[in-house]
Amino acid sequence: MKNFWKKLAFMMIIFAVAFINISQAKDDQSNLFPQEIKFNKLLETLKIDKSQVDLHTVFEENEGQNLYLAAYQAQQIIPLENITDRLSKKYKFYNYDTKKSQNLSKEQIRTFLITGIIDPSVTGQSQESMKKALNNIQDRINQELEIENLRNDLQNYIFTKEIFVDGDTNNSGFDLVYDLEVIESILFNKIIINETELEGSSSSKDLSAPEFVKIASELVNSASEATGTLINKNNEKNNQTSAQNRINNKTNYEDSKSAAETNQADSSDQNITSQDSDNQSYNDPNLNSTNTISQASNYQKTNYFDPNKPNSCFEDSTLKQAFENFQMNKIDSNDEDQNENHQNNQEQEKISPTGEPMSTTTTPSSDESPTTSAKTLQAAFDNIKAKTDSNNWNFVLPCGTHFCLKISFQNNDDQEDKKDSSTTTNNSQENTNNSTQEKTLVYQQTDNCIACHIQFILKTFEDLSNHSLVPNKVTGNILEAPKCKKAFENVSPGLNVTMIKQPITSPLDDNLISNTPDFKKQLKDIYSFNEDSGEEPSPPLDQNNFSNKFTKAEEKLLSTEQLSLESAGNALIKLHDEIEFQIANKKEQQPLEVETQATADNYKALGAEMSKMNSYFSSFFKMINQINTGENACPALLNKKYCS
Amino acid sequence: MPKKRKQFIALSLSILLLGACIFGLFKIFIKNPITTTYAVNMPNFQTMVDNRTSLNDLSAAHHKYMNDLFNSKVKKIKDLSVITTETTADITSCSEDNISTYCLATQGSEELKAYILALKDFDSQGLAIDTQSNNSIQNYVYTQGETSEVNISQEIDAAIESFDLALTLYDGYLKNYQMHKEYKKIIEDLEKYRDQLIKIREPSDLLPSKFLNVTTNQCT
Repeated sequence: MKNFWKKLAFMMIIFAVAFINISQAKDDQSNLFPQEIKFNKLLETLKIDKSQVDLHTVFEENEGQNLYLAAYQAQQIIPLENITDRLSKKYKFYNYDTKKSQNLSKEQIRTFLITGIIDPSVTGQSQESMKKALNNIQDRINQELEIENLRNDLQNYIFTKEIFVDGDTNNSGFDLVYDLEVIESILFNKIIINETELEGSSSSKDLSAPEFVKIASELVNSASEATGTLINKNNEKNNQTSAQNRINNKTNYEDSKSAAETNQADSSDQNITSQDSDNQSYNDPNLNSTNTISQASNYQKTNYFDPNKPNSCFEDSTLKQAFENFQMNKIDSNDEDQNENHQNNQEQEKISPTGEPMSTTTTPSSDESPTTSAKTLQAAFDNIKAKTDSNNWNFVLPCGTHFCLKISFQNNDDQEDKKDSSTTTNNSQENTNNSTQEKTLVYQQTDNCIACHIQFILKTFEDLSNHSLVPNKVTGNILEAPKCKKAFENVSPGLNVTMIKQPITSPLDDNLISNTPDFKKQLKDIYSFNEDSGEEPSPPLDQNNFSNKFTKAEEKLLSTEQLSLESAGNALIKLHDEIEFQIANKKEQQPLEVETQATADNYKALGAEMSKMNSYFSSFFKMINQINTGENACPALLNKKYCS
Repeated sequence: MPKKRKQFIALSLSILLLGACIFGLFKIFIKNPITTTYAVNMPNFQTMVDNRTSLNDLSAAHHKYMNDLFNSKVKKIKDLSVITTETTADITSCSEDNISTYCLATQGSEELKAYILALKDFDSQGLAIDTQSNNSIQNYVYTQGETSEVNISQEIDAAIESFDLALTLYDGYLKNYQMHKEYKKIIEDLEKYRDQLIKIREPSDLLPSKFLNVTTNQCT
């Protein structure tokens, strides 16, 4: 017990001494360049902490405050830090005490550059060697400075151009590419990879390599090991497992999609009550959360190689093929000859210390040996890496900063086009079957996005309306249609189901809303859309002008709506109420919008369009409900045992 | 010394040291609150030169003013709920509320010009004194030739470059922030749009897909 207390006290004293030394080193200004001393004094005068003037965090953490000082630091102070760092990595001296060549430390370089003093702790021949290295620095310092300044200028130039559009919200607080990704996720269920969640990437300065680069690098290394003399069975096994998991992920995803399809088919066979319980998973309260950005950021980073995932970035067919070939051929890796081993070792040597290969490209083939498949993999890897290397000066760009645009066609015609381009040997019968399958395979039931919901709504509409309710019969006469003629009279006109293939494309042209041709024009006038209609442009809106236009539009709207109501029934009365309500809201908002026409007319038009759609949706909701619950629609049919 | 007393002293010492360490770490790692000041009046450099203010004080006054100027404009961008043409595109009158890059550049340039003139005046009077040793490599690297002249020219270059970089960043911030706000509105609308679709999907899922026995056995 006594020893324990002694040890504890001793350790605490050592810790305290070390801490005091660190604190003193932190405050020591004797080893600073004059520019740094001046800047520190300036910060002291303004009572600003140095952490608040980092250009990479000034927008995110400080909301843009102290921007000027951050720019000053980036322009004047950072190059000094960078150059000492680079010189310390570049210049070495031979230490005769340890009998090893070692780099000059940053402190040694700083002391020499500022005071001309060589580190006195190094003595004898070692000091001579160090002196020689420092003299080399002195001779080349102007050149090094010039390079560093050029490098810094270019870096700052790129930084200013890309800070708000690099997909990283860490350096700017917001990012337009990230915003677009969020929009895409709402529309098409795209999985967002937020760079804040990438391992070891707290800021853009120390961003880690993208996951696919790491994995590709691992596989290239494991291929080389499998075919060369550096066989490490354990590592190989691990890598195989890792790669196999990748491929399994793809298979699992396909399985889950088939399962989803099966579920969908099953659910359609069940009665209404059972469907009610099966189809509510998308309506989970968590999924309905309005904060999509935070919701999206909770997505885990999943594999980039999944070719079935809609809009997955970095999908590269060459790389995918190379991986598959690599996996297929890896089993036979024991049969390689030594020449290939030697070549592969040379390939291994071309990989940089950071694991980034630098060899040239090759083309993949289906019957490759493990060595060639490794080469192919490396070539594909190089190909992708070359794309990410543009403007890369100091760090490896993460996946999120690579702007990748992929369009998934989801309507039937486009699906067929897509399939036709990918499959060349299938006959037309298979094509038709595949097309039918793909229509239901794009999204799963639990996906929460606009396209997802539209897909399932369309699916249920199709399931509802693709049944012919006209009964067949065995004909007794030649050329007589095998249909029950009586059924035509009873069923066809009164089905009360209107098929709307694309219900949200253009509400203004929808016959459900109004039959009046002037309706669109009136709404256009109210919302001041600047569309080129071939007519003279309307004068800018002021309050009086707007009120007059609105009154006229309202009068016409009411009169035309009355006409349409007579023919369309109660559903349109409700619709009319909705439109009136919306116009009333618009009237209140309009003066404010007239004032704010500054920069974003297009966005306002889009916003107004979406706002209108949101109000129309409630009408659609009521109409569909009416189909379900009304006396003359589906329940009537379902409850009907036999037609008389 | 009794054993208990020794233990007590060791324990007290340990607690004290531990407390000191925690306090020190707290001081190092806990961030200070953001300190900001806002532009008031342009410094009177001529008076400062006449009063033989040091080069460092002259420089500090300039950078403080510039920092305050940028702080005030950036804060206005954040505070404005709606960014209009009057505040961004009107270059005829650069009022205080005008947050356009043009007006910021005009205002900053005026001050920068005054600062550069003061620096040259300062230099012509032979007031610039270098604090560094003339024998150091540092002078060889950064101050070849006459020390004061080089310092002045370095300071002028630094002031111009920093202002230029800060202005470029401000311009990007102003433009992109407007876009970001519009995107935010679209995102909010799309979220409502999606939620409305969910409401539509609920009843549509109830639509039947099979109509069993809905036919006739009395056909002609």
